Amino acid sequence: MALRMRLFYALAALSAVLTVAGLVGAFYITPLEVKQIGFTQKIFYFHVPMASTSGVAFGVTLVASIAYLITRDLKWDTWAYVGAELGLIFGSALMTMGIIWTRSTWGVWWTWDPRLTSYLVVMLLYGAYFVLRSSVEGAAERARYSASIGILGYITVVFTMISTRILRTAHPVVFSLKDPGVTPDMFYTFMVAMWSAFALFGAFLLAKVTIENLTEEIANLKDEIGG
Amino acid sequence: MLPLRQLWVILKKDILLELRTKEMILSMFIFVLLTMLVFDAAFMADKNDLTTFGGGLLWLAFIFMSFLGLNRSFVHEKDEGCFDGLLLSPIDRSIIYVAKMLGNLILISVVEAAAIPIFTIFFIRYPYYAHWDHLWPFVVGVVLGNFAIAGVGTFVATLAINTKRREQLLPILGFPLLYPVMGPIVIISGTMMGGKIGALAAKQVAGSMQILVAYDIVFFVAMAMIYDMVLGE
Repeated sequence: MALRMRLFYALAALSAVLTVAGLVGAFYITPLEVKQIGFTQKIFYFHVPMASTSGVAFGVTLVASIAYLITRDLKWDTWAYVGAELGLIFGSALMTMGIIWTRSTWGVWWTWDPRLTSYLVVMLLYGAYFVLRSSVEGAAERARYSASIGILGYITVVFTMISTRILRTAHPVVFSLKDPGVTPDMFYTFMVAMWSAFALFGAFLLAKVTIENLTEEIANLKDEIGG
Repeated sequence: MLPLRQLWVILKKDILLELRTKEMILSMFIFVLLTMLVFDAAFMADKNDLTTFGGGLLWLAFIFMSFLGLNRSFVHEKDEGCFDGLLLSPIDRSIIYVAKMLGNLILISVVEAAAIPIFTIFFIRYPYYAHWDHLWPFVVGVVLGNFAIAGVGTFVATLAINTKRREQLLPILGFPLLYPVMGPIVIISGTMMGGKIGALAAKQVAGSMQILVAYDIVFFVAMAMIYDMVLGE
């Protein structure tokens, strides 16, 4: 078995264990947060890790885009767009959770709060990244164009976060690990959930890149036998 | 040839072409006027004071108008083979970018210079143009905003013209890339045209200016550096 597959199985198993541990921790071990938002605080254990993970995923796109720019090796293009795809998937999970939370806590489905706005822009931007990819025929051209947007896109994300935070009256941080009310239980549960999300992301990333490489190989083999 | 001279040659070509055909400038100007007509239909400008929304409406019109022009800016290059000529010439790719971008910037600015007075007459009740304190931040904001739109627009338009979707891609990619400056330019223009500038508004305008300048510099440098990636080989 190739090293990559072994790593994939290890990460998938790790993620499964940690996710269960995180869920148990979130619902059975950690105390109820009483000072501010009560039960809905439980979302924090999985919501924040989703956000960090999608940030890492778009980071993978940025790094792979730069690597493509330097090496012009198509394998980096695969990494770049798998990163963007996973970023969108984790981002969708994040926003779905967030919208439900917003409804139950603030009574509305959506507010134009800096975080929500930034995330919407990010999702649309990487959605456009895939529109771009689907409209270019040649593999090398597609890689060049999408690498340029992969780089500019990340700069936009950074600027969006800065600009929305400066210009909109930022709502108070609802809950943070620095709160005095955070018990060690809560902290460790959060860390477990965080690593479960990272492990899941790693497993997905390896699986998807492997699938893409194999698809490419099949296409090449078909070409060779004239299929 | 010196870089500046190379830049001027490409820029002069674009300006001459536009002066002779007046192809873009007319349609952009009419388009921006038509957008204002739509604003009236949407907000009943006669019954409602639109000064509060002035900044947003102004840039809504300008961004659509700019994209209309930017979309066409590479059609001649592509369809008449001028692109190949540019790529074959011993000119640095970054210089091609800067020259094309300046051409678009001039075009957008000329149309806006004609459109802003009309917009003011139509929708703005406060004589901001008579107060130097309000006028200069407004003008600086418009110039910086145009720089961002022309910069990102030129880059994305080059990329879009080489794909099969062509015109559709510019707004789809351009809007999210420009999103970080949309808030700042609307706040600057809106605050200045609105007239009442409190301490909070002044602070927001200052913050907006900083974001705009930083965005313009970072994106301009980044796009000039990677421009050869979106040009044909």
